[in-house]
Amino acid sequence: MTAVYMTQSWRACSSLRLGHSLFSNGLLRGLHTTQAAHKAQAGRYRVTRNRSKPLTYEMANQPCQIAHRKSWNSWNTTSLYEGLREPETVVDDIFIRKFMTGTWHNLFVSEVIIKRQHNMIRIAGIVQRKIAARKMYFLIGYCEELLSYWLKCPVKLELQTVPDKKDVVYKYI
Amino acid sequence: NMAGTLLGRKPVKLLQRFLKSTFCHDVASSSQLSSEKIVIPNRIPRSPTAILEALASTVSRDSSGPHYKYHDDPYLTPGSNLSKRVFSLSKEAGRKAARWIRDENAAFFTHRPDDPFIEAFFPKMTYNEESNLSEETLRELIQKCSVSDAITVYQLSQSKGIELSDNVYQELLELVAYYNCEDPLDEDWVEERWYRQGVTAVRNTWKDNGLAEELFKSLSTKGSAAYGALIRGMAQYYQVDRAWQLYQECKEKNIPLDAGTYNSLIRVASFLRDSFDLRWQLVKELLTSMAESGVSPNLGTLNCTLEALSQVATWRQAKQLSLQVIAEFKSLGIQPCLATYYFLLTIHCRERGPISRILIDILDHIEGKQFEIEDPKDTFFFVTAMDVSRNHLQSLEVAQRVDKLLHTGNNYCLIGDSFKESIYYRHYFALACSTLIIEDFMEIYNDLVPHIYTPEPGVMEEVMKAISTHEAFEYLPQLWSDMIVFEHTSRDRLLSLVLSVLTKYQPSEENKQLTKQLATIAWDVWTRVQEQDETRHNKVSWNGLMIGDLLTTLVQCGEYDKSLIVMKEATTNAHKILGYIPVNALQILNNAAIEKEDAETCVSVAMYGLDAGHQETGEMVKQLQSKLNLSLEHQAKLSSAFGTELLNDSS
Repeated sequence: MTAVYMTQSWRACSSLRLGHSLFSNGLLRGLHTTQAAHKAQAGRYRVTRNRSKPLTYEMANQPCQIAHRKSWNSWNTTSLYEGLREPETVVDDIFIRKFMTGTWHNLFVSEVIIKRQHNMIRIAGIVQRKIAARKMYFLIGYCEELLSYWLKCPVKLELQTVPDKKDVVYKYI
Repeated sequence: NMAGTLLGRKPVKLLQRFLKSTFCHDVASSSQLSSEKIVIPNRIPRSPTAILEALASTVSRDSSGPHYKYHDDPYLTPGSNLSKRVFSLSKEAGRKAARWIRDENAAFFTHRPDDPFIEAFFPKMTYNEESNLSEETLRELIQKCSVSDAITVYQLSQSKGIELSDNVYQELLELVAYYNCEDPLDEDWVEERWYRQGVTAVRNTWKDNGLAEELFKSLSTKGSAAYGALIRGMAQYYQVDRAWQLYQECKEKNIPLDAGTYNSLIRVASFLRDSFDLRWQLVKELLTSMAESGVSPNLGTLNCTLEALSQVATWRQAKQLSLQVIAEFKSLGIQPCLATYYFLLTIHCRERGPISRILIDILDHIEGKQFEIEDPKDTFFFVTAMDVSRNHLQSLEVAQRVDKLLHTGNNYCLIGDSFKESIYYRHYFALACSTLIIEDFMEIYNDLVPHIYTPEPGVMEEVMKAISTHEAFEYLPQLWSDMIVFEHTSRDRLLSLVLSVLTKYQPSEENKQLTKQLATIAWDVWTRVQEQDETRHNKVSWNGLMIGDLLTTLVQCGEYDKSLIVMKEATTNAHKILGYIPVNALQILNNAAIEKEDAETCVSVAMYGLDAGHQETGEMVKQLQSKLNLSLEHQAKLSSAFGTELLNDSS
């Protein structure tokens, strides 16, 4: 026997649940009769019991704070009027981010910022000082060169080093 | 309407009157202008980067920060000479690794989203059996100077039986002879080129019966171009006998040769004859045969003649001849370049010989001029000029003139490579150190160090000696911290010099802070040496003088407790110290201990003095006894060591 339950949340959306019974492990099939309005949970971190989770400034500010207390991680002109190559740029940015975080193994402590200017791509970020400086130079030369071969345009790295991971922590929640 | 008709009738005349009245002060000139023809100058053709170059010329090297090639971060800023070199080369190694990956996996990098197509980002073409070859491919590769690829394509076309024209053969011969069948270091690897020391051993490296000679034989008509290319290549790689043979062949067959070929033969004349007279005779022979064939000499001829003379520079007539040569070429209208001046300096400013002021004449000639590269040896001029100003003329004024010339316009590009740059600044620095008073010298020091020039340990020793002579102790803290950054703290000569300079310092009431800083330096020397890794292969070991200086400094600057630690270490580990602590250091320590009424230390100092065999130990003991009351143990110790008579005499 199926039961029909009508729920109404405070957001004035209603959903129905059809199922065998409330107490058995029956499968529930749901359908929404109005727009599905879920709680916003993107880019937000759950508070821990003992306030041990470290958050950088970027993580601490939620996506609604973009253009208020935060800015973007990718800067390009693709979204302007007659801006070209929007989807390709997005995919290129994903590639660059994966490449950078993978090559600099466990070393990035901030997001990878990508700015496109004229024909150049400028990649910025904060890196820990876990490896020797000469090894960092090797990685810088390697990344700049390989990315420019891949993306067919000059790539410049602008990294900042930080002695300890804790230096970029803004708060603990 | 009235106004309109008024204006309408004679507007031009009104206008003229109006203009004349407003520019009444220019009436005279305007009448002149109206009679003169306006000449519109021709358009100056500008390169695409002309504006950028003009902007760049307004900015010079900023000595307050590291070179632009280093990453802008404190952790990534180089301190010592070694780290500068390591950082630039490791960055370039990363680039090379990336290029290797691109060329290994060429299939993944062949997409072409760029418009216009940029060849530098595209993987390198490899040529093998299946590739589509033609004469055009070979021509392109020769144009790009990719020697090994051109050779591969040539060999493949031979095996495939593709016909190639004589022109292509000639071009390939020239390429292969110039590079001796080897690829030059890629122009992209700027750091490797910068740090590569250009001194190659002067020996025969020509590939006998190699591809060049094979090509030469396969040519149907061996004209002057072919002979010329082969002779030049052989002379460049010091296969002088074969080159001379070919030259004789050309003479027999009456094949004309061009100026470049004659130049290359003149350059290696020293290897063809033994005595100085014969060498110069050979050069004259070549020049005369050049004149007879109607080949006009060029700047290369001048430079090669002077190079030949510099090989025989110890000959009495070399100087005279060099000046004659320059005068003769000037009459032909050939202006000397920096390489010419370099050879003149090597000929005239010899180590053992009279002082020649030719550099001053040269500087009078070329002051304020901008130079482009005209000869590979141009880059030797500035280093040699600075060397001459330091060692030969010993004049800071001349050195400053040379430095000014180096910094005019784009002349800094002619410094050559990093080795020459460091030697240039080493000479300038050492000369400034020995000539200037300490304040002026420290100005130059603060300007150049550490980003433009990092002093080597030898130069640092000179600076320390200058400080010692001038007793300018206030610069010691800065110099010591610089020495730490430059990684000079593992050089024992430098450390002992630092300690001996510190002993000269007499503390006084006004400079308490300086006293403290100098004491810190002395203690830092101690800790650094003590905490060295035991397994280092060239570790610094103490000697008696250094310990003595250290004790003196610590006591004089009021760090009595620390000096006790040093003394204790010296007595317990005496076998690790080379030699004995000199007696004046012991006396200073003794006096300080007496003042502090520290009998224990005095006794141990006396025992050490006895071991060392210092004569004055007896005096010290007497002084000790008169000033302090010794306990029974101390008395017993001293009497057993020195004998009871000594102790009884003191009363």
